[in-house]
Amino acid sequence: MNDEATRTLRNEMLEMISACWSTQIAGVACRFRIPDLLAAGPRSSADIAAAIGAPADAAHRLLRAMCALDLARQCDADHFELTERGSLLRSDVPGTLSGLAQSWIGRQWTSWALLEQGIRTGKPTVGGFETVAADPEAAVVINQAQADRSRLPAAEIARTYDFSRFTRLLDVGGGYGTVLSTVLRAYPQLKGAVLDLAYHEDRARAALAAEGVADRADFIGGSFFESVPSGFDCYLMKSIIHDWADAESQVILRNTAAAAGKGTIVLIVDQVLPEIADADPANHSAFRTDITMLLGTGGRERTEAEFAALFKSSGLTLQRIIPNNSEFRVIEATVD
Amino acid sequence: MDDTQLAVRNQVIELISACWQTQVAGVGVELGIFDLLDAGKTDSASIAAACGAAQGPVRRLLRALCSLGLAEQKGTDSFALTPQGALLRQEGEGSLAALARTWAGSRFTAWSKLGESVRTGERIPGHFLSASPDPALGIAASKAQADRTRLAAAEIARSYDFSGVDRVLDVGGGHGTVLAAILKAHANLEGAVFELPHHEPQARAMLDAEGASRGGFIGGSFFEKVADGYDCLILKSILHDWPDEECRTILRACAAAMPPGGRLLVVEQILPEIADTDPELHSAWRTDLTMLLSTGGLERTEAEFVALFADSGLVLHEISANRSEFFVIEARLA
Repeated sequence: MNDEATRTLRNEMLEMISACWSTQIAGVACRFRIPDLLAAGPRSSADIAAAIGAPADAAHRLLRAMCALDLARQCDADHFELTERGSLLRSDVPGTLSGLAQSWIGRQWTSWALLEQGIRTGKPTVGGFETVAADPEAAVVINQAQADRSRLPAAEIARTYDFSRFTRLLDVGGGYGTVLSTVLRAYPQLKGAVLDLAYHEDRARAALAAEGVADRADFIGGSFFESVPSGFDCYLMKSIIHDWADAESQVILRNTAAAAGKGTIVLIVDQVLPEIADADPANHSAFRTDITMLLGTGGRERTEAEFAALFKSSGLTLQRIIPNNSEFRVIEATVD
Repeated sequence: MDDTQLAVRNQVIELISACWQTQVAGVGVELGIFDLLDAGKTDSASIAAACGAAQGPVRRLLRALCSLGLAEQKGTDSFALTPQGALLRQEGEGSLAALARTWAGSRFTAWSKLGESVRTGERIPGHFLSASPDPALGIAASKAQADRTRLAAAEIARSYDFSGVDRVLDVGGGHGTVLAAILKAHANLEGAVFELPHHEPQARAMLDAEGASRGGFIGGSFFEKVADGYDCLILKSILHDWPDEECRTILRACAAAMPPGGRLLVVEQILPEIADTDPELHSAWRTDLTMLLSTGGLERTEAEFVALFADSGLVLHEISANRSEFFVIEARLA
């Protein structure tokens, strides 16, 4: 290997080893609402420092690091403005990633810090889903981040999957109904409901109303581990199955199959791992999320073959996988 | 959503979640996976057995390593090392293993306090490890620094013109990585490491291992007095550890030890006056905040170095670049 190639390789490795800095820059910027403070145009670092209650020098250094990551731009010696990338971190834009960024310096950071323990034990490092269910306040934060992150993928699902043959859609474990409301807006003939734990009802109904689909979208309180309501001709669950190990996933899928009835379509929306891992950056998200699930919920990402096996053991049959421009796939199954 | 919007969104999600890369690389080192792959273990069961972990999670970690290009999946349960992963073996030319462990360990903890440090402007106590009163922590941090410094040191030895120099003193030289590279490249030069006395055994071992046994070790602190009798002093990655006031103390101690015509080589990254997105400069911006968090120091622009020199009886002579991220900033007595 020649000198230049060695140098390039080493620099790539240094970037990877120290990559955690960008998680902190983005997360801390969002915690301090810096993207919101810059939304109206360029401001001085002293101005930002005063707004966030930090010394001017420290704020200036954080802003420069945001520039290095193309989240902000330095206009002159002391003024900074938001870039296109940085504007996704504003808290008030559709599909904002502000909640996601803050979760990565909070709960996600804590669980990833214990990766070695997670790999050695194979057990979640931060208490798993039970701790979330027992802590409605944490659940609200997670659901909001999830709703924001789902917004653009939901639009992709509505755009690429044909819902015109259905009349009633159930969004199983649908949180604040981001996917349901996006699909309902794209398909005026469709009615639907969100199934999720009862304490989410108020926020979910408010979100459905804000999306303008309250007249066609209901909320049903309940746990998919106990039962799933019948009376729908399409059942969808986004980012649900990957939260659980196979045994729990089978319970969810069997409950869904029992409610849906023979021949009914069940749509799993999740990332799909390639059978053989590769270094394609487009797959980073799926492999990263696989370990996030190991550390956080005890769940996992799955390959197509693993989904097929899971369906088979749960009374369903894999029909096809429909890609779109987001990292999520629509995995279509029918009840046996 | 159009393709551009999607691409921008995906870039920002990657950036937000980038800490996974630090952990996957560091824990791969911690479990010895790169050495096991290098030793010919290819399947997740034998790798898991060798590192004392369960097979399922180890296989998932191996796939994550493949996603980052640190390993390659050859078959359903068959993995191999890549050139990137080879840099994370414990031994070997330019190993980044100790650095990877540091980032997944103590640095990960320090960076978790970024918000606190920005809000207060204060460093997080207990994270300036190479200056730690605990020798074990200091030595581990110096090892990581030595790994990172090795290639940069070779670049400095190769690119800087040492003609006219007889005796080099590597001030705050840790385990002597920079000195060793210079002595190896320039057979006519004599030199010594000047460092806190507890580093002496590691420094002597490193100089011997690098084939630079003629290098000496002088115990001392650059806050008190720098050894005289050397016509070329080097300060690599020292000034960035300290605020301006301490830097002036260090620079004045160096100036006091320099003979007429002597040189001081400050080896540091240099920040541009206006921040930009050049990936080559990521390291400098990142290190600036690592310093804010851990040592209370900072990275500096050229103008800021010039001002420090002027306050300390020195004057900027020349800045030379090389293929590493570090510049040689040469000062002379004013």
